[in-house]
Amino acid sequence: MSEPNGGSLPSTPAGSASRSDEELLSAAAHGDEGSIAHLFDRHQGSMYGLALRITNDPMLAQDVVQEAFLGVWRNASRFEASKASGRTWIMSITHHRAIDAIRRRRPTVALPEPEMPPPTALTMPDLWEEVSGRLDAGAIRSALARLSAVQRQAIELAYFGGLTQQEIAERTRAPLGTVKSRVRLGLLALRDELGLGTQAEAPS
Amino acid sequence: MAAYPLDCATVDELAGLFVLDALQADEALAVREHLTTCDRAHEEFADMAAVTGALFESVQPVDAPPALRDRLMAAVAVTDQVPDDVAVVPRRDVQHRARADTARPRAGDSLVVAEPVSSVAQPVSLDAARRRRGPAPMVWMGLAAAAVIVIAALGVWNVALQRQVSDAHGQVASLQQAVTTAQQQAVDADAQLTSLQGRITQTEAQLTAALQRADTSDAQVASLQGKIDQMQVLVASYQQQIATADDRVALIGQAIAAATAPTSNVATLASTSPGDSAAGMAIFPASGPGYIMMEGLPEVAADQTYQAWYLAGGVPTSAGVMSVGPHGLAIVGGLQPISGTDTIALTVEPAGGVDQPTGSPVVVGKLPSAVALRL
Repeated sequence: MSEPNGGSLPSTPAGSASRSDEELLSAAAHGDEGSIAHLFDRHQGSMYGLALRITNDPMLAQDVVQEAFLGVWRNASRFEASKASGRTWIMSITHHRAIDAIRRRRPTVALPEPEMPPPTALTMPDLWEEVSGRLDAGAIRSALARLSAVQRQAIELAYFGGLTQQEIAERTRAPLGTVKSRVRLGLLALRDELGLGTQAEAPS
Repeated sequence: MAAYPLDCATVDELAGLFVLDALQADEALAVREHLTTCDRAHEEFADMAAVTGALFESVQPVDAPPALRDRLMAAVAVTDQVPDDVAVVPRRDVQHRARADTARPRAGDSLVVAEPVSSVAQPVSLDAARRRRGPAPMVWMGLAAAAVIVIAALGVWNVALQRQVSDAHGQVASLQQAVTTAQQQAVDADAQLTSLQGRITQTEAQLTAALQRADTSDAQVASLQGKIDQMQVLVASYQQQIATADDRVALIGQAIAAATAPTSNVATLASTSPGDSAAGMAIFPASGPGYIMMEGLPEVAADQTYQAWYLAGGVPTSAGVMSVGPHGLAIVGGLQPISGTDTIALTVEPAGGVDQPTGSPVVVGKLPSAVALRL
């Protein structure tokens, strides 16, 4: 896990610094506002950074962080530590809210369903946590840079641009099937490049 | 929502797009339904999600403004949580809960995440009034020239041209401040709505209990039912207000985005009264509809409205009426300027607007380039 972002503020209860995200989420699920405050202090920088990157709008990004974090608070009882790390869960919700926000600014696009869940809720035990200690943002960025230009473009338009596969196809003037395979092969290449994942090799 | 069945191979093929949130709603729903019911593990999703983790870790963290934390914790204090309704889990000392406690075998539940918390601005009373502007001596026909004269007289015309971009950014920052304030009010409106809904649930429970008692009088039932009806009316009115404000905030967001696009044709708008701080922008993106945003507009009488005009070679065409919200904030979107428009002006007109301006311009601004013919 990368460095916790943002300093602890004085109102954070003493002692929670040593507790894991998962323990704090569990306490939050039982109504402990101190725990949710500490989770905010720990992750707000990453949440706001991601929201800013996606929305490019400080006002909207603050909105996104607020909505995402209230979502974390409301649904803390639904978090399953066996399926994702707390940080991945929180960041997935943030990403989804940010995408939702920019799609609302583009009224021609069908909105995602309001209750669309974070994808990681469906995953197996989180693989990211065990390897992330070995990786830093620079390593990830250089892995991204080693993808083919069209793969990187498709992934970035989706993840940071909030475009659907159909919009990516339109924007890049590529057939939908090509977009699908660029995203898939790009992510698999990234997985192998970073040493993530359960499967040894990307299917060709 | 119309979902459709997918086979395992198709679902795997969509895994990457799914974790990137790049599927359309119906596609995402179909994938999720498949994963909920399928016996196969679909490991590819775990891999893809791990890579997604790499993507968010690649972003430079930025500290959120401290005010956001205060706002958020205030919202947390009034936001109900989804109950942990699966098993009877007795409340225990949270400090000693083991991590394993959080793992609950509830695949179905994990699929549902928070409905979005509304973060819209509380609506604004638009009929508050009351500074009536007297008719000014300027005649309409000279407006295009007047626009130049007024701005030149203020000594900012050249500066305005040269600093178009920084002016626009200043306006954006100022408008964003106004929106942020409005959104803070929205948190309160939302809390009121939540609390109201809680009271309705309570009263409904009372009503159910009363109905189960044999000796409950019709009057008691009617009184409880009346209370519920009243509160429902309030709820509907809150929801209506929030929806209206939501549209307004969304429109401002779009306009701000358009204003910062380098290809947009942006006019800085200024009041024709030297002592008046009303200012704003007319924004015409390279493609798509335009916007006019104003800040600090004085209120007008209840039977009056601001009306915006396109000016092409001195000939006015209505761009629509604008109502004034908090901070004198007014916005109109969806503008399709007529070709040749080189100046934007605002007048005060009778409520509902007029075909041709009757008042003199109270706000003017010249576009850096005339609007080209649009096909």
